[in-house]
Amino acid sequence: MIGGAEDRAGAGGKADVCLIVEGAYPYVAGGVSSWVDWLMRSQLDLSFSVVAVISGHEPLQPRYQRPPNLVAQHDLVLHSALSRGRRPSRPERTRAAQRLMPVLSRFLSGGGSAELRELVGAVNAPGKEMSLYDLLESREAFETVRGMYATLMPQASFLQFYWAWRALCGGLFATLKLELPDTRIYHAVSTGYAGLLAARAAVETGRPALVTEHGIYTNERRIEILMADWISDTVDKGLNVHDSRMDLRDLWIKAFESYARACYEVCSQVTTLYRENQEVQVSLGAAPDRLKVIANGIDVERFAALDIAGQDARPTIALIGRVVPIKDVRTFIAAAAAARREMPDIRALVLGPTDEDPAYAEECRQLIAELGLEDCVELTGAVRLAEWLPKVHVVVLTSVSEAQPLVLLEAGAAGIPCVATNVGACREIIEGAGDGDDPLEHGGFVTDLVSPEQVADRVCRLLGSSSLRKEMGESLRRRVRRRYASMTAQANYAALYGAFLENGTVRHIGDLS
Amino acid sequence: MAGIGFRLRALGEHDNLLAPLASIGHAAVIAAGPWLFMVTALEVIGILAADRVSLSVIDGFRLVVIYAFAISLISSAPIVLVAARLVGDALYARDAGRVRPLFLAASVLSAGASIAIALLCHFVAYSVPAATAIPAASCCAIGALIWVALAFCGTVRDYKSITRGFLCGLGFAVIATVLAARADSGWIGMIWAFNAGLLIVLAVLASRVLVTFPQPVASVSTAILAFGAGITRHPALALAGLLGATAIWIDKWVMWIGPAGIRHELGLVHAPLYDSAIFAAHLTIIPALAQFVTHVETAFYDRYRAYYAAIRDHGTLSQIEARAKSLKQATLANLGEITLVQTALCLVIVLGAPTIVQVSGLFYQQVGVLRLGAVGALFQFVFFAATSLLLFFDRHARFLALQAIFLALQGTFAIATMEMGAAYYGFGYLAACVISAALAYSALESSMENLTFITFCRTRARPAAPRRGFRHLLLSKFPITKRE
Repeated sequence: MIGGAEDRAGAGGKADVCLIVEGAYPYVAGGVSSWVDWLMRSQLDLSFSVVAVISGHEPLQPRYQRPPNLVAQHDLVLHSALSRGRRPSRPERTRAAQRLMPVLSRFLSGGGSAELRELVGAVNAPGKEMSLYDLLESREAFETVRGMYATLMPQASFLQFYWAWRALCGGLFATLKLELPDTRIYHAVSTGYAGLLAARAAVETGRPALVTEHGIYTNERRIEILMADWISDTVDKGLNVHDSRMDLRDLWIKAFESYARACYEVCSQVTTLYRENQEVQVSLGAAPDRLKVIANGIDVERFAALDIAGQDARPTIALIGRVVPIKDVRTFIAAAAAARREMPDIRALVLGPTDEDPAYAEECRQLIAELGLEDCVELTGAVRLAEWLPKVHVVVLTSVSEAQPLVLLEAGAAGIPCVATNVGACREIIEGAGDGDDPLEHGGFVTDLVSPEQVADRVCRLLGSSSLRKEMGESLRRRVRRRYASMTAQANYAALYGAFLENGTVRHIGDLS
Repeated sequence: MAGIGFRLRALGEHDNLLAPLASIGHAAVIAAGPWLFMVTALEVIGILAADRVSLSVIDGFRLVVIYAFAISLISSAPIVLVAARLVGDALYARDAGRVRPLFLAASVLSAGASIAIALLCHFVAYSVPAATAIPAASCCAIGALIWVALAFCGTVRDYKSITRGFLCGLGFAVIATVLAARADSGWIGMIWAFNAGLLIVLAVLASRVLVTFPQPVASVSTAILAFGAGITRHPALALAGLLGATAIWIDKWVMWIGPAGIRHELGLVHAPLYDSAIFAAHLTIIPALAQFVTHVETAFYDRYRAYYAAIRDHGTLSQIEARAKSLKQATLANLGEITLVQTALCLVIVLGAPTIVQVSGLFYQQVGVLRLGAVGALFQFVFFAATSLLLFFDRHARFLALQAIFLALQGTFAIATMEMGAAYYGFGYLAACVISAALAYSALESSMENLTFITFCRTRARPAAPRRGFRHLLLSKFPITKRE
């Protein structure tokens, strides 16, 4: 199946680009995985390899057809069984551990690429490579844990510290010990362990590394960690924000920030889907001149041909997405109830599968029944979008979290105005980036999160005025054509890779910093 | 129900984390007492029956029982150690329903192995007539079943039932056997009578286990297969059990087949000059063992639990290490004290050996063996105590290595002293015990010195990570930008 690509890969199966993906392609279906698949298929004249970062616990069944230009796939297993293997002598191990401890400590508690460089040197020093077993399970490793515990948080639960250390360093060292795939560009599709591997590859090989972020990994991790009830707080900081004592949550967050910082500092280009993400990237050390927005694109023509719902048709709004809590379908239902007071014949569709979180779907059905909306709100299940869009006057998105939602682009391509919450790239898509090549021009309305009244008000304004609808629909259509065509994204990535591939191995990391 | 049931509940409530580790330690510790009960019973029977029955009959009876001890211990030890661990795992998983099938499977396997070895030994090796071999094999089977039931009572620390069971059963056995002897029923009658007493011991112990774990067994074959799988999961334990039990007996066997060995008229060989003195020497460590079991159950176990509680309840490292230190100090100090008291007792025996020989009906040539045996037994006690404690810390590999060393030393030194002649009998045992005890003590000392490291990095049942959270955090979950 991949014979042609093998040829293109040249001698030794060396790919042009190595994509590093965490918890997604090819084993987990989802937005990022589909994007990786699209990216490879959109750059057929380049060869790719993929490193899939996996935890070691999940079943490994590829969910995607292998593209012809994918020449090799490797797994980076963060947590695997360790065997002792051949070991250096005890004094040598002790010396290595003593070298390692301070730099590891600095790296995890707020380091960056400098510390990563030292770590790589300590762990992978030619002829003195330390095994994963020695790094994690040996007596010297335990002394390292004790040392770090004493330095960082002697007041914390040791049980939790130990497992936090073990989980963090298990992933960290697995990333540092992976045999690097031979390639010309390392391209991580998030920070975290993927970004860490790209950074290590750049440090070790001197070849360019890139990172593309969809959501901001460290933000998502921070939220998860702050919400995790299994991490016990050992420092009562009260309201004192200047208390510098470290707690387990801080360790987790700082570690992921360190991974991100190392990645941002080392990567030759840091791209993301929309501008708002860049603030975080800069705050964690990304140099502004290396930042770039490359939006995801859609097949504009496919949607441009669709009819627009007529003025005589029943006023219809639609939420396009899976029925899951993150989409906040309940707010959409409540908004429909509020809008019906003003517009009694309104129809509200939820176009998307209901089987991913059946309990939540049931909750939504109950809410519909409670509000007496059976003849107004409809959960259709999975549908072919092209058949339904011509019936929809306004597309609504009530999500509490998004990156760059493609449904807004698809609606825009079909000339349908949108009402969406102020998350991810929604404002940028609906109102424009406001820079030179994307003037502010409203393609709908942006609302606060969980505000059914606000959503209902904006929806009614649009449903009540066909001219406003047309004006905003067309303005959104123009923006999608201009900025979000998949051809544009494809060309942007081709240019990005091209810049680093010309002259063989191009800009050296040293030249950049 | 009250005793063991209560303990089981207590285990469930407080010691859940410790079950896999502690239960096996308790099982090992508890094994020593009954062995001494049995030796005592044998001695008493010998003395009470002596005036009416010929020495040959008493010797015949005693030989069969001693063989039964050896065979049942060796055939059941590997199974018992694994069973104790599996019971611990079951209690840890709060799945008491798994215990009764384990008990059943362990009983079937131990009794089966014991009978097989007994028949091989009596019929094939020594051509013992069936009239003797059958009660002898029965004795082996009951013995094996008792070791299993004992371990199950031990894992839930029901020492009262154990003591009561042995006192009642062996009391009955002594009376019945003496009566059988006086009724001139020969060693065959005596063995049957003794078996009846052992059955009482078994009934008391087994009923405690069955009452505590009332859940029915669905399928015997499934239970046995599951147990087989358990053995393959803990091969080091099974092997250690086998080697350890063999080590206790190997010096006797070497003597039996050597120049000191004589064939009794019922067909079995023994070395009365060596055996009786060594058995008498074994009895001298009863006080030490009693103290040790008490210590393990009180000071040791309290500190042991406190240590794990400090980890489980999210203590800081300095709190945890303070508890570890206190555990270490208390344990080693106590072991030292017990050994000191025992050394004094040992001294008395060494000095008073000639008198003891006279009083207990031993031969004068046995004074040397008795002295060496008493000192050896002191060190064997240290070896036993230290290795049992290692099991509390999941040191299976160390435990196995020490048992293997003990076996090798016992075997080679016994052969060496046998070659050197009667004057040296007992030296081999002493030397093997001294060296093994020193190694076991140093292993225990270093394990306790590095307890936190061992607990976190070298234990199969590590203190658990907080709920699934960590696994959860390993991989990112990106906001989905498009439906599939």
